[in-house]
Amino acid sequence: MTGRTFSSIYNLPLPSLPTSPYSMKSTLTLLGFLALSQTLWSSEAFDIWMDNLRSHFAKSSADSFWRARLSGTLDLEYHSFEGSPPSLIDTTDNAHLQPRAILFLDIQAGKKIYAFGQARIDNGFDPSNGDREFRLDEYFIRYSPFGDDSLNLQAGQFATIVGQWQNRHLPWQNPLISAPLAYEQVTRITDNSSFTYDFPGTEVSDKWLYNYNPIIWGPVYATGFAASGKRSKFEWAVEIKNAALTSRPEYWTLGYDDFDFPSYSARIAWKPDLRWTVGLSASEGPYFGPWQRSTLPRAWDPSRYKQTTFVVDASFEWRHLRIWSEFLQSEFLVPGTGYVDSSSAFVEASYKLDTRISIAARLNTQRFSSLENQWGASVAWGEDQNRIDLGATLRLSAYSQLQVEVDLRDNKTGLIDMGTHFSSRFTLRF
Amino acid sequence: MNSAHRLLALAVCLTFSPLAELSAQATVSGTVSLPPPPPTDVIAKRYNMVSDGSTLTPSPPIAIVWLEGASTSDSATPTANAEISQENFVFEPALLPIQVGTTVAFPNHDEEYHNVFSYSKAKRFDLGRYMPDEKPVPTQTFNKPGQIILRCDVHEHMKAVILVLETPYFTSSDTEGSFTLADIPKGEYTLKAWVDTKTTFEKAITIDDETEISVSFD
Repeated sequence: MTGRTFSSIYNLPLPSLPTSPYSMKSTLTLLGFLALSQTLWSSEAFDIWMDNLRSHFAKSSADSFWRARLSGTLDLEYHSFEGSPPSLIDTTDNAHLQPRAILFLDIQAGKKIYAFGQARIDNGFDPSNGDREFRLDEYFIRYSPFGDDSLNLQAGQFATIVGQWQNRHLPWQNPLISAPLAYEQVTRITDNSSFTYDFPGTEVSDKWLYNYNPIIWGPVYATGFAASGKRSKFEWAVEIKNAALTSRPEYWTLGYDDFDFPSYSARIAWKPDLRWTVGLSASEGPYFGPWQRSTLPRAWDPSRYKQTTFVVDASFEWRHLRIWSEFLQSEFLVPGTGYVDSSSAFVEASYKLDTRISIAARLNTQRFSSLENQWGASVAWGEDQNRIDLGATLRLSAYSQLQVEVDLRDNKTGLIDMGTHFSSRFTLRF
Repeated sequence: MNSAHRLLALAVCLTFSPLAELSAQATVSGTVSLPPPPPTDVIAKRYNMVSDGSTLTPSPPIAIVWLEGASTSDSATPTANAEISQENFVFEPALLPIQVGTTVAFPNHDEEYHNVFSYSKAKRFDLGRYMPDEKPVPTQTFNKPGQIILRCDVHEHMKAVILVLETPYFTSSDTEGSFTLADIPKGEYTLKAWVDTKTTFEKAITIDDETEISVSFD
């Protein structure tokens, strides 16, 4: 009997060590990470010093009605890869270093009002930009009229209620460095440039990655309103946002569309106990950006060109084991082409091996429907892909951690040069 | 033996017997200058689709006072176990003194997960996520003296301290900083007062014939 290896089932390339010309940069970066790790390793004094520092970042009124906490993370993220850069990383080199600072402000007023803001300093959502920028990514106010979890009303710019990944998308909470495939891998859908009429034959160029969109653009910090609540073992949430799930960050803020083309989303979740969550989400809304709408013929109604998405999610958390899974199905109406759809799924697990070390793995897959192209041939409108993400997190102290991850990528058509992607991230929280 | 001799013998016995030591036990009392209460923290509820609007009611600062000396380290092993619960998103109590060898239980009384862990050298552990009604309640036995800082991996505002002491002579102050240590045998000791993770006061004291000793840490 011939055994099939995990790699052969998924037709994945075996990982290989980085080679020149980026081996020197990789080595230096790894040495830097190791030096930081050694400095902070088991440093109780550092934890106590950080506790003391953090105590200066919290304020409350004498009666504790008003409370505020400033916190954040400092990240140094490093990627090296074979072949094309993964997700939205834009570089001609085979390595990329991304420093990032994130600031959080949590405010509570009594039992009923909670407000949150998140600002970042990094290279921006568009990696080709290259310049450091300061952005206010999230801000919202949440009102709980009954002072409990039975009803919450929220307004502002905030992460989508669809799916479960947004709960762990921040660097400290994410057991891996990458996002699931559906949340970061670009497709041929674009909300930023004119569609060509030979849509199925369009290739995603490495040079113009930022013109294209994933099914869900990360946590989708779009602007809008949400209501959520809990009744017995069921949780529910609805939201109206100014941008679709696939929309790029530039359209999340107020000032672009201002709800002329809103998206509607809903989620219901069943939690029989703390261990299990099973959720169902749906979202629909026009996905064209303002400039793209202007390229449409006058008779074409841009509100017709919608993205419709369904997500089924399930998770299990108990003791040192956490498992999440999602199945996503998204359909787009493309001008001159018709409906195209893509389905994606992932199963992700993390396990704490001991007090400081946890390991994580994620199996991703994404599939694209077929279309008839201009020559009458049936072709898929995207490259089917599989990806395995393997990672480990080392807690250096209560306030610092080091993560490493290897992604093994593969597609069926070979149109895009895929390969191994190695990443590491040092995070200091405060 | 006449009555005078009997009285003399009784006096000698009382002087050198354990009963005599007991009669010489003293009480050490005093005050510790406490830091101001820290600001009330915020529960970060950023990405919960449904979040409870609960508010935090942390315990006010207190001090732990104990005696260290030659006769304290070989004292009897502890007889009672202790408990730190997770309730209303705080550890209760937030400061717990125990004797070496004590087992501490960590029940979760909230309707959400907590994940208690410690990276302190005296005891490193990670309990994982336990449900509120789960049995048996997770426990840890503390066999090394030292300061153990407890944290929650789910709620970053949660913190508590366990002081593992090699003496049965310890007590907690009240919220004004007043303390009393009773039944202390004769001897030379170091009286220590833990105020926070960075500050521990200490003073040398001698207990001889005095039965009431007053000490203040300012």
